[in-house]
Amino acid sequence: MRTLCYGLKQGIKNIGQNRLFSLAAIGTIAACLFLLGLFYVLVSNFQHMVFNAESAVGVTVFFDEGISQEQIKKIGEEIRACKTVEKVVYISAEEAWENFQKEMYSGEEQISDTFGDDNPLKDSSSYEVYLSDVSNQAGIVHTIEKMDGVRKVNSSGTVADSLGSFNSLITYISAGIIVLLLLVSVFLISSSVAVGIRVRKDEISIMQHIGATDLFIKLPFLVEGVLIGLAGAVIPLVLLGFLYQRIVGFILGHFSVLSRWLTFVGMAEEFRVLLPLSLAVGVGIGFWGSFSSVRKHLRQ
Amino acid sequence: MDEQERLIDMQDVSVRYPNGTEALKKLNLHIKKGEFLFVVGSSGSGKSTFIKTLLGELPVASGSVSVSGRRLDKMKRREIPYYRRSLGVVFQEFRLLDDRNIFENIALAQEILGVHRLRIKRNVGMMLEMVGLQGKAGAFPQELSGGEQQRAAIARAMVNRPGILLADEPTGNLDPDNSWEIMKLLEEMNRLGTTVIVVTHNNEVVDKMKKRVVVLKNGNLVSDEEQGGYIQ
Ligand SMILES: Nc1ncnc2c1ncn2[C@@H]1O[C@H](COP(=O)(O)OP(=O)(O)OP(=O)(O)O)[C@@H](O)[C@H]1O
Ligand SMILES: [Mg+2]
Repeated sequence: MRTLCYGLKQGIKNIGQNRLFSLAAIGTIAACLFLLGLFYVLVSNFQHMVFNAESAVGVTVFFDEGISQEQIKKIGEEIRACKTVEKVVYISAEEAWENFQKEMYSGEEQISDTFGDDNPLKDSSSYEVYLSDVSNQAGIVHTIEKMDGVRKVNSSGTVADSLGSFNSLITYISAGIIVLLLLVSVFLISSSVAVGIRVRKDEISIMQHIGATDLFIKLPFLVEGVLIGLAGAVIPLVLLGFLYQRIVGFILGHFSVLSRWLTFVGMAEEFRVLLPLSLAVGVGIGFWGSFSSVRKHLRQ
Repeated sequence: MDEQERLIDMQDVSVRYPNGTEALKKLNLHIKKGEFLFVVGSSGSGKSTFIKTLLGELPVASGSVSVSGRRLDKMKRREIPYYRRSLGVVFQEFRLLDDRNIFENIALAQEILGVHRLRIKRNVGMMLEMVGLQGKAGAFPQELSGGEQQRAAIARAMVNRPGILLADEPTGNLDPDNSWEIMKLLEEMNRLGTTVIVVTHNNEVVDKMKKRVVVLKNGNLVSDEEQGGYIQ
């Protein structure tokens, strides 16, 4: 306990005496964790939006031609009975046609008029199925496909797939940059500690002569590394928290039209992962950097 | 000599540096509890090597070294810090920490042992008085004379009340007057029960103090006399 106190005091002193290296190390870790955080926030929001889009689109169920309303009702009840099905909405052929007209020919009345009252989507009445858990989508689709009277089931899996492959490219690039910065951080911390050990060579030899244990001598340097790592973790967290609120606020304020698609992950939820992740990485790097340096330079 | 009387017992001790230099050759030496011993010899004769060996800083190549019943030649690396706490050591260059005041320098030896803050304060105060540095607790090493710095170093070496005090040319950087004061201080520590081993080039002091004198030459022990004089 007293050893820990001593280690803390001396560790802080080390950082003060080694300001340039310490700042460089803190800066690099901060940059690295900022990037990591940014990446995490972007990806998690992206996934969140895709997720939302998916569940909004849901699953569309089309029926066999010439099916009776009775049968359609029966299918609807069967679907509703499935697990994780939240809502089933019946879209009649007329509604489908109207929607289609609205989307395709808005402002071009004359074209839609050519069809007159002849509904080309005569057999296109459908159910839109909304799920409470999209990850279960494939299973539900499979179940519905096997029901009597069901002609076709459309689902948005393909959309998610293409978004996914775009995602993975960003993932690789970001991961590369993050790993590079992590390595630079470890190098800077171990250099910082090595300089500290060189500067304090006399002190270390004196301490060894008066019977200081290895731990007692090493602890200040380990504390130095961990504190640098901690500082390097806290700075980007604060920065990200601040920016996140600002940017989300700005987007929602200025692009309210898009707010149906732009649903953001709450900051508390982001930080539930980001906070422990950043702290663990920062402290881990700090410890690793100083530990490797201490092991290399403090052999008696 | 009775086994139990031997505080330090060296038998056929050889010590080699990593580059192969054999700096101590089959040394046999027995030191009793409470003795005051001078180690003399020309430059390069192995005096510092002798001190370093007792500190557990150099591995014993052959032979056996036993200090207070502990076998130094068989000691594990992690045991050495604890062993060193039974010794006090003083060097020619004082080796005080420049960024800490005299109080903190002396207190460091007790902090290492995990002594409580209040007791550290009391013990350091007592040591400062003993070496005549009361009132200098807040001074930094550069603000003290060489003699005062060495007295602070002795205070640091003695604050944990070790049974043995090792001094490697403690007066090498001091003028004759200061040298005498330091030697008197070491003698005082010896009078209070500490076994004291002093490496020195100061023939005048050695001749006057009439203590046991061990002479080294090229790593060999060539003379060991009670109440000896300085022979080069
Ligand atoms: N670190 C070292 N590596 C290799 N050889 C060493 C080392 N230190 C001392 N020696 C050699 O060991 C021998 C004894 O050296 P030591 O330092 O014990 O002498 P000394 O009696 O203390 O001399 P001085 O009076 O000059 O301090 C010398 O030949 C010296 O060159
Ligand atoms: Mg020497």
